[in-house]
Amino acid sequence: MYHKLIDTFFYRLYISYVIEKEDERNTDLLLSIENLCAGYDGKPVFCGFSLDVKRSEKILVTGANGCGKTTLLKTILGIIKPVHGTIKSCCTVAYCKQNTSDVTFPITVKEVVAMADDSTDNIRNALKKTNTLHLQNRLFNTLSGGERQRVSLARCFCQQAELVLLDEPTSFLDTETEKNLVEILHEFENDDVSIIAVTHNSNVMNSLNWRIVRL
Amino acid sequence: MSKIIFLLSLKPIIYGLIGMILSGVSFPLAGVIIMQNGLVPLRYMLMHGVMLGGIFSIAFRLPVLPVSIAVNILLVIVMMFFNNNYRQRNLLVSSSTMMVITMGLASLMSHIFNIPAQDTLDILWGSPFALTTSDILILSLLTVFIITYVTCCFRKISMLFFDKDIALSMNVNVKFHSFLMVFISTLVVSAAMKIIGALLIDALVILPVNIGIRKAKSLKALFIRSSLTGTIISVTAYFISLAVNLPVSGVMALLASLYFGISCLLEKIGRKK
Repeated sequence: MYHKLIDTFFYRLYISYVIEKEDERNTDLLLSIENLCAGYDGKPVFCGFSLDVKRSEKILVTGANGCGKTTLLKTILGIIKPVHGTIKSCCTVAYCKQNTSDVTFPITVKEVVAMADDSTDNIRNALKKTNTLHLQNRLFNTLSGGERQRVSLARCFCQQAELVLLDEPTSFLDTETEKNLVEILHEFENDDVSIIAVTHNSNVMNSLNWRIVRL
Repeated sequence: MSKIIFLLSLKPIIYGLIGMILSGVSFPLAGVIIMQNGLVPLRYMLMHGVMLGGIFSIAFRLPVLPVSIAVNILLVIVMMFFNNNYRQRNLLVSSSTMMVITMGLASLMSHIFNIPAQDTLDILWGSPFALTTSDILILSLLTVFIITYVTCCFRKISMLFFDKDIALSMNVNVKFHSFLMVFISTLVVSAAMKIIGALLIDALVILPVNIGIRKAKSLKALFIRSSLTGTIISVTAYFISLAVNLPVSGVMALLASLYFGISCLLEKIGRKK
């Protein structure tokens, strides 16, 4: 009788310890993807992809052209519904698109960053961090490709989301501009924000000391 | 001058002036939404919808403006039913299809109800002098609605103009706002038909935006400049047409085109300097 009670007591103690540890682990876990199959119109582009993203973790997702890197980001964002598999997310997400060149209306750099948060201090900090403060009154469609990417990064970081998704941040950039952008990404390494960047650029992979995941 | 003062004492003239001011302020705001959302092809469907609404109202002796608005809303609802992701390419295809269906229906209705071609063509020109009290009320409500939407949802609108995927990532209800923007375009095209006619809608909806975009240094400035340009064009055209006794819609279209031409010329000269 006593044995049974003692067993139950220790068993409960053990269970509460396990749950506590699990909770601790879960608060650190921002995104959990399990056995994901995603694509368009029910036709999967990739299948069986799993990934856990912890707080402040920086991840590079790589893979050949057309393997579904952008599809993965869009699925995380909820733009595309998964064919099957699960995505559990308990964080705010910011998204930096691959190509924002088709802006046809007048919008200043400051207005672009203010879309994320209209607090002047946050805008200023985000612009400073991405070396674009001097561009704040310029029209977005008059910027070069590299400047646009930096402004898009500023918008993402101004959003103060816990997870930032970067879609090919160095696409369409020359080597020098690419270097500048990688330096900016370096500065975020010790930040609390988690980043998932998709790229097939080997220079970026070699320059950044981030966890590499192949799709 | 004394002629204009006398004319301004007449009810239809005052109603016309109020209509021109209201539409001058608000229609270009909708024009910015139409242009930046790639809704220009949708505009054609709405113009044909106005024709169908006009024929329907003549056939059943109903007021033109509410019927045209109702027909256009119905068309948009049907179009959205088959096109739920609001992508530009899909809107182009579905609005073109709906435009053809609308014209087919308009043609059949005018034949079945023996509507004279002259009456049908009148719908294409419009007149601010024909505005009734209920039309002014509808226009006022529409103006308040558009200004409130643009002012209160400016951040969301700029996100949607910038990129729909990014807007979605910032928790903007893209579906709702896209529908609202299409809805605003529907109301504006229907109302503009009564004032300046289906064929000259661009003079008040699109041209002020094309003029405003040349000098605007931000999205906010684009909205303000377009609205100011629209008001100047509509009120000036109204008084010119009263003075020289010409149709307002034609004068307005020519004045807007002249304004546009001069702004292009000035920009060219400025660039050379």
